[in-house]
Amino acid sequence: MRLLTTVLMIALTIFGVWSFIDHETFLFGPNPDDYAWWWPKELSSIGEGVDGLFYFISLLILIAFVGTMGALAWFIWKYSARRGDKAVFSHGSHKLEMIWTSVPAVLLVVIAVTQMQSWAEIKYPGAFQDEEGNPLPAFAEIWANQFNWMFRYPGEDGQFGTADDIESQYDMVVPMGDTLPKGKGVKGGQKLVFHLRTKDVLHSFFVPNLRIKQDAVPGMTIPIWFQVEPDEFDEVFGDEEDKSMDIICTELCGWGHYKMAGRLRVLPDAEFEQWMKDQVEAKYSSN
Amino acid sequence: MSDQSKPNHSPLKAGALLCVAVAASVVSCDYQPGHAPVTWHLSEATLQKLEEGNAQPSAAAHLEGALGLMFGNAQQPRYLQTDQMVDDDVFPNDGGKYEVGEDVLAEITEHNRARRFERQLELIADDRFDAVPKPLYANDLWEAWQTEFAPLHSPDAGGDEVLAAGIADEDGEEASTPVDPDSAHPEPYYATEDNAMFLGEPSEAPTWREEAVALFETWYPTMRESGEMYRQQCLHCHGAAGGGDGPTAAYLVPRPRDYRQGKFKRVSVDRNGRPTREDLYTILHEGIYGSAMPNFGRFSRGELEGLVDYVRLLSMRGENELMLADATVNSDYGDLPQGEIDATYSLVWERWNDAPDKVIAVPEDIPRAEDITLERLENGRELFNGTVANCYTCHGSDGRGNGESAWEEVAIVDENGEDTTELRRRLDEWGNETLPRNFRLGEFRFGGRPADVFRRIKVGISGTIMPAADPALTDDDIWDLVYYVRSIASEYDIARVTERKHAEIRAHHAAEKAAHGAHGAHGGHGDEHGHDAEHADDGHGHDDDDGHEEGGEEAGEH
Repeated sequence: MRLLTTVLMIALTIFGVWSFIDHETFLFGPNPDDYAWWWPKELSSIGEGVDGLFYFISLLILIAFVGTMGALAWFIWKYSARRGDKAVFSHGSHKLEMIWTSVPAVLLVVIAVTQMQSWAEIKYPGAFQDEEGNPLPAFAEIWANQFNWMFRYPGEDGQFGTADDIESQYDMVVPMGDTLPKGKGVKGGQKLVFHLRTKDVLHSFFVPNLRIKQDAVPGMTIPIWFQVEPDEFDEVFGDEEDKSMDIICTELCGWGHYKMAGRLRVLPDAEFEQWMKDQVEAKYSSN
Repeated sequence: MSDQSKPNHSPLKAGALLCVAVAASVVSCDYQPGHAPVTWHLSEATLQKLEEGNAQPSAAAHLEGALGLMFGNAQQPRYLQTDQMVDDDVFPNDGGKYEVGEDVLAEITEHNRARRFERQLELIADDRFDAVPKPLYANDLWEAWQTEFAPLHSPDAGGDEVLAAGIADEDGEEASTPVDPDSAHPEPYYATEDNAMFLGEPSEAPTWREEAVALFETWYPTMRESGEMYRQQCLHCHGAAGGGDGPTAAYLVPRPRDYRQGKFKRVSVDRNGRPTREDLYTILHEGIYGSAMPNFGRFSRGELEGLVDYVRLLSMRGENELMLADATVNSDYGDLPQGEIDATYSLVWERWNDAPDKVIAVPEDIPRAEDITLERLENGRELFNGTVANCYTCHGSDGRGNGESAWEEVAIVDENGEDTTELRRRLDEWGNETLPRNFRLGEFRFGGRPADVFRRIKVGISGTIMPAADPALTDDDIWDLVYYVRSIASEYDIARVTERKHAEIRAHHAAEKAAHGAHGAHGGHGDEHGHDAEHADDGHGHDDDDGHEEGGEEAGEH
């Protein structure tokens, strides 16, 4: 029995590590080619930072997992009940407690320090301002409601909530910014700011490819931004026919939560202009 | 007890428990939600009607049997093909396959190729026929793939033996070895012009691979497949038979549509008309904003057209149910009159298929938002609050949907047993409370495009107290109303046109001033004009209409 349990523990550990490293075997359904390790391939300016953090923390967890599971297996082997054994009283070890308190504490501080750069880049108010400190205008509004994503473009007058707004259900279309100049150390692409709003309950806007995730809170207008890098976009999608990215809701918002999906399409600037013109035409179509 | 007496056995027990738990979880993984037994049944309202109408006890069973004859059952939905339909070359069970236009077919094929079966086609191109995963909902397609293409991917899977044997004869090979995917298919069908869905240029002799690709690319859902999809995506609100009585329906305001009356609100047809295929597709694709009906843009065009077919079938079934229940109650002997069935079935079928003839034409030259002047918005506001259009009676003079006509006095008996009256919301034809649109929300459930709002004003909304527009209203009047109700949610819209008007006034005064200046006299007079122009800047209009419109903003400031 002792042998069986110990072997089971070791097998579980190996299975855990295997399922963690060999993600392709455990991707049920989607095409593994579309995935980097555990993530859809990233193509946004913040992607590398977020992925670096994810992999760093995953590595820490992997080490902790193997360590604790190994210790557990060893304890089961060493201290399982044997005929004639007597219990021994132990008060514990102060030194050991110091170690297992301080090591995680240090690790948490390390994680806190490493994430600061990415966090500041994504969320700090400076991210939503231009170089002079003026707030960047919203390119579009993202409206969440049960169980729908709606994307509202301001139209010609640049104001939201007016009669010339363009409302798009499901389809979020943005320009690539490929006509913008690429500067020194700038990979190109257009930084776009969006205002995230919800009509009813908490929702969460998540584009896995862009590594952007933000809760939508009733009564609040929350700015988010992303910048798709044209080179990486071409690398990821290549000559695939369907170059769209999934938008999903990552806050359990009700019984229809699973239905709440959208699609992000990043079009070359010229195509985006055309799309916008088509939307205006469709809006005033009499059919 | 046994644990205490034989402590050494507890790890064994724990092991056994673990095994049971693992087995239970494996079994529960096999749970197939799509296979939950779901049946069509007569609605509560119908059963009640039969009972109150003193119908024969067997009438309900007869009615259900007649409906089964006409529309099959939930597992095997199908239309009854009448002699008339055969004569007219109408094949209702093909759904929209032959109804939709060439452009829609092209979109279906495109979506099948690039979205729906992207993975399957990729694997077929890579010769990995065994790895092709089963697509969701497409059960009949999967069956065809498993049997007709068995020689391609898994010769021992016991597929179509006749077909496999035929190949063995022709190629002189054993039937158990897979066929060469690039050899000619003996009986091509999918990649040929015979297949109505195939839009490509058929090659002389399609290969097995071309056939397999065409099988997936030209997929159009069967009624059974659409039923499966309906059960997984729609049933929990709309109910198995489309009665709007699914398990989650009770938590929704507005309530999900009950298809049985055949009436839908977001339509392009005449009041009380049946929706066209495009109308239903639009509802599925765009959703109904401001309700719990989401957009289903993530599904391909083919899947949505299939759902349209299925919803049409459920609606026609529901309409037949209601009409036959009436006929039963009205018959002399309280049972289903036999002659009635055919007539009802044909009548409902015609109603639905005449829908495209009843589309309300919207004038071509739709005024654009930037062309709307303050005068037009003002006209819209006057009409809204006037007695011709009568909008305010339900929607309220400020457009909040709080007008008094949506309410009625109902005689009730209070707790002291005395007769009294109570104000209650009027009910629509589905028995739901009438909730006139609150325009302050800026949501238009039945489409926010100007043409959609125009249609709703022009012909009203089926099943509700929203009437068709008074014939005295011209198209221009209706457009003014359209833009006025759109502007209620947006103070900015009004401010924008006001600003444009003020710019005109300023320009006018500047011109006048310049004219006075040219005369070189009446300097004081010019100042007065300047003051007027400033006044306009502050938001005080020159004529009463303007002043009234901006009253709200002014009141806020003072």
